[in-house]
Amino acid sequence: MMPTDWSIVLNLSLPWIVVFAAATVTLLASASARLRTSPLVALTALAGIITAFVLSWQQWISGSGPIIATLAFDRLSSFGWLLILGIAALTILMSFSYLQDRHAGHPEYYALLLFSAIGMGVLISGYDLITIFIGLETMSVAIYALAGFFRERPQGNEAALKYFLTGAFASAFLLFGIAFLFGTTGTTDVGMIAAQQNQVLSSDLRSSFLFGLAMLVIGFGFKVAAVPFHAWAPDVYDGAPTPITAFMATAVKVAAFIAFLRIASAVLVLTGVLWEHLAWGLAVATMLVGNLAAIAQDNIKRMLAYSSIAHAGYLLVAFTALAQDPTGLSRGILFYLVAYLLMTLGAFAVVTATQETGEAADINLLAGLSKRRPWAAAMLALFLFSLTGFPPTIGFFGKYYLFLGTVKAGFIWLVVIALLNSAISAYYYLRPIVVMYFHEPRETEEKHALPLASPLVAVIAITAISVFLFGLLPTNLLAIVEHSVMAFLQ
Amino acid sequence: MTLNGLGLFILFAFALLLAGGMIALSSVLGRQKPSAGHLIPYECGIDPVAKPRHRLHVKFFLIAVIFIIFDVEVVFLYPWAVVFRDFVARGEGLFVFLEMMIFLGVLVIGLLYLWGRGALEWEE
Repeated sequence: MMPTDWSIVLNLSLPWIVVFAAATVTLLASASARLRTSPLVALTALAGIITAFVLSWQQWISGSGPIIATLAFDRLSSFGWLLILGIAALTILMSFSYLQDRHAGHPEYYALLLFSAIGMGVLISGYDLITIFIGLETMSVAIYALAGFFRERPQGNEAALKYFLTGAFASAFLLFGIAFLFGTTGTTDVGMIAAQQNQVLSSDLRSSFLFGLAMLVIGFGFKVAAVPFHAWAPDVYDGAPTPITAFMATAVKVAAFIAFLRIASAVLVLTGVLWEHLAWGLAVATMLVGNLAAIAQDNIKRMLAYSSIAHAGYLLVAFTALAQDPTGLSRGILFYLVAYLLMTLGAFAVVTATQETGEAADINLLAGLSKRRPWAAAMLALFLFSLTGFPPTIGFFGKYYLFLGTVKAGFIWLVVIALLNSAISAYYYLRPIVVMYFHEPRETEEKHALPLASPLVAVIAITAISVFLFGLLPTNLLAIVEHSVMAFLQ
Repeated sequence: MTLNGLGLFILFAFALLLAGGMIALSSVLGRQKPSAGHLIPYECGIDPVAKPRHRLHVKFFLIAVIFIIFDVEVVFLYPWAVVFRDFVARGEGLFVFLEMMIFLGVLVIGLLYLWGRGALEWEE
């Protein structure tokens, strides 16, 4: 492992080092009483993220790098890292006024956010199961703390504890699976496992190997909240601070799905019909439970939690057919991830705006929003239409590419089920819109709310413009996604 | 089953038999006369002077957590120190040394944070 050229490694991992440096500065600033309340801390974190974003954008342009030891520096990594950094930047912007309104401007919040982002970067680039596990844990441990960041709130404590206990349990499954894969193949390197797979599958180690893979799927299924490993999601999403809920619903899913894509397309698809059956079952269960349970929710954060479960189900639909058309479906999955993160972040940003200085997220509180905050109401409607998959938005093209690829691969019935589920989802996505525009507010609330903080407006504007723009002109984004996919499948 | 596995199995079965046998024999042969004296915790014949569940100050919790971090650091340093010479012999000494310094550096950042936040102050 030693004689690699360290200047290359240093150069390739420069974005991570920048984020780590920013996180360290933020953390140490929070130890000083004078800097604790300064807004400079959030700006430092944001500056670090933006610098890293520019650096990895340059890396993406310069093409796919090599796989060095346990990390793959290909375009998929750069692309995934760009998404994570983008989400982190938007989350920081969203959190700024959220924390100020609640007089809780602790800089540790930003440090934890950055540490979590580094973990996600490692998770995405990991080409060795142990590295992937370390990335996953770095990501999760920071998020556990963030979920319960407001220690005075009982719901926050409940969220953190539930997420931590079930998350640690799921990590144990993942580690158990890795141990079995190591025991049967003698390596934790993803590429080497894939190379040995056919030989192992025809030997008497077959059942142990498959057991290891199943454990691996459970571990990832938990992180992306696939049914039957989803039970934590609604409570955790509801109890966590809203910007953190947005971060969990987008960044964690993007990172886990990209790492899962890497493993699935290298290892899982080689098990053939076994993986197809497993993914088929997971996808159908996830879509059905997510969509049906979302109907019954009166709390918009819980509704969005179940909606994020349902979207994980749509993504798993494409994972089912991954063996037939790896390039096309990986492209579809990545495009859908971009679409999903934009519309979900946007929706949560508007929810943050409607919460004013409180924590309540009951759907009836949206009544009269169209008069109080006409722009916010219109944007929430746009995001919800996009989540449903109506045409002039990115949500439509996301679903279109995802399902088209799956149909071409021959899974027509699966796509029929997915489309029926999309139809179900219209019911609960349209309900907040009805409440916003047609219900009168119950009490005599003040008609004109205070103007929103400008960083929050910026988040809503950026996501709304992206949702709309890529919904009209998806070709550029599709080309970027296509280039990101090609290298890692070779 | 290999011979090693068989030996382990026999050891396990024997341990189970011995422990189970003692409990079974004492419940068969022993006299069952529960009294208040029988039910108090056995502390070498002296009557217990305090309840076994003390209330501890919450500060100990923080100290325990901090201890775990630096305990793990030391646990990691030992195997590193043991194999360090081998790496030096292979000409990878600098690399392995720097790697450990990075690890320690990260922990020092954590220590500085704890210090600055006053987690190491007992009196407050």
